[in-house]
Amino acid sequence: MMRALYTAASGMQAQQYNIDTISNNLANVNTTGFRTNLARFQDLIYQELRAPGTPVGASVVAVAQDVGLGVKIGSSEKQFTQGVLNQTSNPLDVAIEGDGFFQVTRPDGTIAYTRDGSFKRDANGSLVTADGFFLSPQITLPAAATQVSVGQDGTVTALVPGSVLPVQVGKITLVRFTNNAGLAPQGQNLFTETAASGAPTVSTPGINGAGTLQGGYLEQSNVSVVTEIVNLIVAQRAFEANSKAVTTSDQVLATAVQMKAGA
Amino acid sequence: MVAENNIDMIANNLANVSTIGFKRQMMQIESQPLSDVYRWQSDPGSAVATQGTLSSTASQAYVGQLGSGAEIYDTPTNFEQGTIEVTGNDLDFALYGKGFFAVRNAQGIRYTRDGSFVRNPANILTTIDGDAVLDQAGNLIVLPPQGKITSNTAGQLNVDGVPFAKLGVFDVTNPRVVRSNGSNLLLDSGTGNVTPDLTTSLVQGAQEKSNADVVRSIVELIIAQRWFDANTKVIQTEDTATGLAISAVGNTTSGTG
Repeated sequence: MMRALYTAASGMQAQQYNIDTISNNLANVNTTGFRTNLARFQDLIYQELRAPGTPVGASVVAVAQDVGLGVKIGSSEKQFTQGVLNQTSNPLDVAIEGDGFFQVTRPDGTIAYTRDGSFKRDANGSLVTADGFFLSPQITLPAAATQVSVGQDGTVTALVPGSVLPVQVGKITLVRFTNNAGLAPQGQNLFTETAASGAPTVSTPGINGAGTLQGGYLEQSNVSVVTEIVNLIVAQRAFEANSKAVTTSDQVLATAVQMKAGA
Repeated sequence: MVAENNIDMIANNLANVSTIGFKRQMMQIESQPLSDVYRWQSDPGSAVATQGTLSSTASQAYVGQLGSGAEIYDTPTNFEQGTIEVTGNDLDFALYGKGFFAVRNAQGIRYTRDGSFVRNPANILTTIDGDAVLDQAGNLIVLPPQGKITSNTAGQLNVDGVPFAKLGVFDVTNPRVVRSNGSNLLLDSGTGNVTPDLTTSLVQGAQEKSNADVVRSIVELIIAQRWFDANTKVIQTEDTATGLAISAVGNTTSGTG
């Protein structure tokens, strides 16, 4: 069978994957702290029709003749560019401006990382994510605390009864990774550490390259709708073009078969 | 056969319309060796009617040349510049000009136009497959653990304005001997063929798109298909003619005798 059939099929699969990725980005356009994925592709191996160096009379073939066998998925790298900060006026909404992640403890005790700083107070006054996962290190606000605010360096202050000035009730720390793109997305706006991301480095917001915190703001998704729609159009046309190569290969094979029937 | 290979190649170009830094392949076709055709005028030893003597040598009249088909001459890569798309990623670099990045993997040094690099856990600049990106001297590039990385158009890398490394960009003097190796890598099969590049400019935060374009490929595909069709017609016609010749043998009513 013709190589072109399988080559074009690999092209269609790649574009299908591209469209899947774009759809997920578009679906998460309003997800707090979401990071857009960018599908990247690589060419597959090449089949040699004639190797360079093949003797031709007294000389040798100077250049190769080869035909490529299609495309494969290279990566779907998360793009860790800054998202727009959106004011919410909720003092427990915290946005990271710059590099870094919040640490949260999942119910099974493992640590996960997130850019989504929409924290809530649970029944005991502890700061938790929307899913109820504790912020790590854990911060518990006194029961009667009012006027809670988060400073740029992560200091959480509140006004407690019997005190005129706000007092520090906790400190939010950030973690940084050598290679953010190597983190494994877990859904629920969470990431986990992998061998590719490197080990987390805990740091105070604003120190050693870590971003600063903005209380009362949430970081929006960094998906650009216009870019995604343009990519979607391109992916669809590329898919169609590859399907044309399949149709053409099919017709060519049919022509070859009919040669026998028509004679 | 050549038309079929041509369709395979176009399909590969189409499959890679979204591949970063992909360079499309072209096919150059040549005719297979021609053979000279002569018409026998007389055989040696045959009577030459007009003079009543015998000819001592054969006499032939040159008729022309007969082709025996087409074959692939070369499948060169077209290194035309691809369009540059902004990604906003500090470790994405697009090349504008004829240079290549050099990377080292287990097999040796390879060249690529795909500048979508990442930082590995050891702070080394690598491709997405983990192949180390090389500087102009052929050494690995170690990124400072923190700070904003910027690059000028010559590939000089700075962190917070302080230079620390220079991305290697190389020219291939004879691009014809550069072969696609898969995974967006090119292998230089020539020796002493690579020189440091001085003319290519680098764009940070961008990637070079494939130079395979859909419209051109579809047109090529139509042409290749018609070409294939036309050749099958020749085979069919030849087959019909042969069939007729076979069936006409011994048929006394249609022979001219």
